[in-house]
Amino acid sequence: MTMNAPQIWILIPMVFSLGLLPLIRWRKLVALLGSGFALSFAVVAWLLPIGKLLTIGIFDVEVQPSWSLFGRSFILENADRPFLIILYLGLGFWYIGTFSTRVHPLFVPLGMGIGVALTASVLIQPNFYGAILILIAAMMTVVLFTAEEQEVFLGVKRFWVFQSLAMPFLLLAGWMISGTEANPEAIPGATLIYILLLLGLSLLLGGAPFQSWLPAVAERVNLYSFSFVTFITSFFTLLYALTLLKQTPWLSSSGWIVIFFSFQGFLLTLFGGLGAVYHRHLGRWVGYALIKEIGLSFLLIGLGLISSNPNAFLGFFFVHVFPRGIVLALLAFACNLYIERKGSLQIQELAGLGRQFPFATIAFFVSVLTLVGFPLTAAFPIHLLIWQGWFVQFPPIAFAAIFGSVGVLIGGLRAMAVLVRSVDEAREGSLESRSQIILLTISTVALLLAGVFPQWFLPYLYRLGLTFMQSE
Amino acid sequence: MIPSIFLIGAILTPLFSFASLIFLQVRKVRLGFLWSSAFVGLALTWLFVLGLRFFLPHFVPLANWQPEDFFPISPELLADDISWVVGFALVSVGVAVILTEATTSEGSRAFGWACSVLLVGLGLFAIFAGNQLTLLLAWAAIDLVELAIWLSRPAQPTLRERVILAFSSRAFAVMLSLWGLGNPWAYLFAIILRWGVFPFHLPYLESEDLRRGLGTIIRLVPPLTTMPYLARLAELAYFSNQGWMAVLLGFIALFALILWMNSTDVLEGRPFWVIGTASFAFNAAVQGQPQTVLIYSLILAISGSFLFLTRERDRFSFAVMGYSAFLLLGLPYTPFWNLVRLYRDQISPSIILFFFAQALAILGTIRLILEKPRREVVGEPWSIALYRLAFLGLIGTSIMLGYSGWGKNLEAVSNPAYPDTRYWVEYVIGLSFLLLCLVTVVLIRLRLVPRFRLPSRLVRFFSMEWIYRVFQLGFRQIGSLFYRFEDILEGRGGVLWTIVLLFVLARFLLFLIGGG
Repeated sequence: MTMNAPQIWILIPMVFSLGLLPLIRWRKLVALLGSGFALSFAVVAWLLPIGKLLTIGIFDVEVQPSWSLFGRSFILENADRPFLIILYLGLGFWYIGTFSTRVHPLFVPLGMGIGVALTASVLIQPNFYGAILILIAAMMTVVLFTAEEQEVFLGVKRFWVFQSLAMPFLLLAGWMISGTEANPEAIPGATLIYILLLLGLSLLLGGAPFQSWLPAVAERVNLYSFSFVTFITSFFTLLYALTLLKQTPWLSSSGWIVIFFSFQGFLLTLFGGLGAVYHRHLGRWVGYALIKEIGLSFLLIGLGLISSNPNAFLGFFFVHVFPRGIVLALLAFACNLYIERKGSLQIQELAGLGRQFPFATIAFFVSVLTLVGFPLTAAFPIHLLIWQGWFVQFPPIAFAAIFGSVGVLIGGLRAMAVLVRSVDEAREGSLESRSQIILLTISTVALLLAGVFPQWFLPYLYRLGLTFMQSE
Repeated sequence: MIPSIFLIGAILTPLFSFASLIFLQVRKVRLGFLWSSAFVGLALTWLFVLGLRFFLPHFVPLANWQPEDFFPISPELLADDISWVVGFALVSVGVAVILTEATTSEGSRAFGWACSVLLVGLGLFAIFAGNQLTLLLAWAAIDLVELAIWLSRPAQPTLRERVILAFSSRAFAVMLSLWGLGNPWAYLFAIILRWGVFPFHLPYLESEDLRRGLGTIIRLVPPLTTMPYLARLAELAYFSNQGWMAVLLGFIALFALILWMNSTDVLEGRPFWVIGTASFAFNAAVQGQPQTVLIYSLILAISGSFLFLTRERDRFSFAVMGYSAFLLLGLPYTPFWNLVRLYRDQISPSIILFFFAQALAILGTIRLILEKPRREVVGEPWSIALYRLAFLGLIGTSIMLGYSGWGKNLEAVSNPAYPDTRYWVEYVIGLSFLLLCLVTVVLIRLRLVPRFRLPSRLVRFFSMEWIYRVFQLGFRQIGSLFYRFEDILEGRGGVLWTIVLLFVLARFLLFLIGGG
């Protein structure tokens, strides 16, 4: 029996997400189906080899890696399984959270759709067509954000403008790249390729100066949806960029690309840190923290490109996203609890909430520390690697990265100081439900354990990343 | 196997003791049980550290971070002649703190005991850190606990602001220190911040347990954890030929000890004592004298505890504080004689500064001794006995660490950092301090010396509060600029402004890479 991997990982989930749409009025059912599907697909991604013969009982099953559609092909090889595992684990993790927190009914089906579109963007050949699929994901994101707010506000408009502008730039750059088989340095079109490509990537990845939509959107929409969407979007768009670089060796060895990632990382970490220090709204703080995180990913890639063994170094990209995913989910979960209570995330309105939501506040605190790469947290080893690497290569960038982390830390602690302030109302005691406490405790403990014993998770994720980066 | 049990046990026992204290507190057991739990935990730790003395040096790898190509350093513990001295001093102070707390009957103090025990455990983790990465991890843990303690207290928003600033600046310093996994200069900032210099003084004096027991531990543990590292740097003569550092540290010590002299009571002067004595230790590291670093760490911890743990001025405390002042003199053949190794036969600006600073430290202590007795320590006879036992234990520790044990081992090392000869100055300088003290005491008794009081303007200057104010002003100004920038980018014309900014950035980038 022959199956087709791209059909399994693109078509089936897409059909499934469409199938969930008529069911959205039954939120718990949709959450149950969504999380069950995502977790089972994560298991399948882990167990099912691609391109190899597998014997199940009396059946011999072979999963083909390629699928052609409208003249384009989607290629999913064995080495691509790591990001599928991460995607579906992430989806499952976020969907489980929806049992205990308030999200829009469209969150589960559209979340699945966004994930599938982004997966397809990494698998499509020629690679630059991925920009179209990323734009489709952006469309679904706009639908999700506006459905929650019931209006198209300025932040979402800005997001849409930047994402839709990115697509033509990247398509044009891709088209020009595919047309140049000789050394592009030698042809006059190379400068134009760089300009188009770097502009496209900046717009797509929320690079400077196109990052302003992040805090603006985070201030308005449900933080749970926001953190989910921005997490998987940033992960996949960076993966898209990495795939592009991997498949075009002359690009990855170009000084322009290294300078682009380093300079963008420098600006984003600096700007994210500065914004986080001065925030007056917890949602905006999450937005700025994300800017700093995206900046850090840029710095990781920049460092990888100049290292002696880029693929070995860039394998850490997968290590980098694991704590970020848990942290963003926890932060959003805690913020959702606060907003359900107070109706606002304005910092001064949060006074004393820490005493009413102790588990959420502990989770918030641990998440803040993890986000900034504080020692003893899960993100510390990867921050250590980036900071030290840049200290060796170019210390101002390392300073900027540290400044970004400290800025996010100060902003988070300002919120903490307000949350734990004692007010009379806080005598009510804990208002968290049992399921919320369980979810928060498990996630926080996982985060703490990963921080204290990084050897338990780091090598495995690194190997996943290495497998992806070393594939052709 | 046994030394590893001692070393790991010394660190884990206080942590388990902390956990058991929290558990017992939740179960609302009697205060006596809580105190016993804290005491047993620290007494066991004391035994573990004492036992470790017979197996030095001993090394224990804790974890192996992988891939090793990218993480060449992994956490590990090292107990040697340097770290053991500081570790033993810390655990002795910890035991003394819990013993002095026996006189209290307030239930709310149990939280302070738990935190003290935890901080001692984490302090030992930092002191026995086998490499710089482990030290940074331990520092981070201590900072976190300290932050949690501060934030759990009711306080004014302005004080919370200071707490956040103190924690964030330390976190920044820890992150910056990662540069220094091969470059100790990067650690300077982290070490100095651990003395509590920024914000200069966290004025948390309203809570009784923060005044005495827990407050003493919070003040002493962070600077004490820097001492083994400083001693190792001294051993390597890392800062040799850095005369400017000695002068700078001399000024810091002098300023701090002027404020120590000027403070109205011992607890108000505590942060200045810490900064002053830690500056001496750092100067010893600059001079390449590991033994002197260790002696000043003992002065910081043990002499400091004599002063800060004394609850009332009775006859017993008079004797204890007298002993503390006696140690500070550095008289020949006294336990802390090595502290005068700082003074050589060549006069330099830093030596003059440190001479005056040490004189101020001694006079400040004598001033406290000469305060009129207020009242006796009250409590059950057994609790007063325990209270006094705490100080006797500290006296025993100072004698033990000063005369035997580590000293011989260190001096046996054939390293120029451990000289076995003494300059003539070392014999006379202690005597000159003694003379100065006697003259001062006589003058005070004859009422010929007016009470030492700095003008308030000078106090404000020395307190460095103005630096904090300037920083605060700058912070707010940058904030208002940032809000405007944010409004422009997120406003209706944001996309156009973004394009303008893009061109500016592109031009700047071209300029940076030499594109004209």
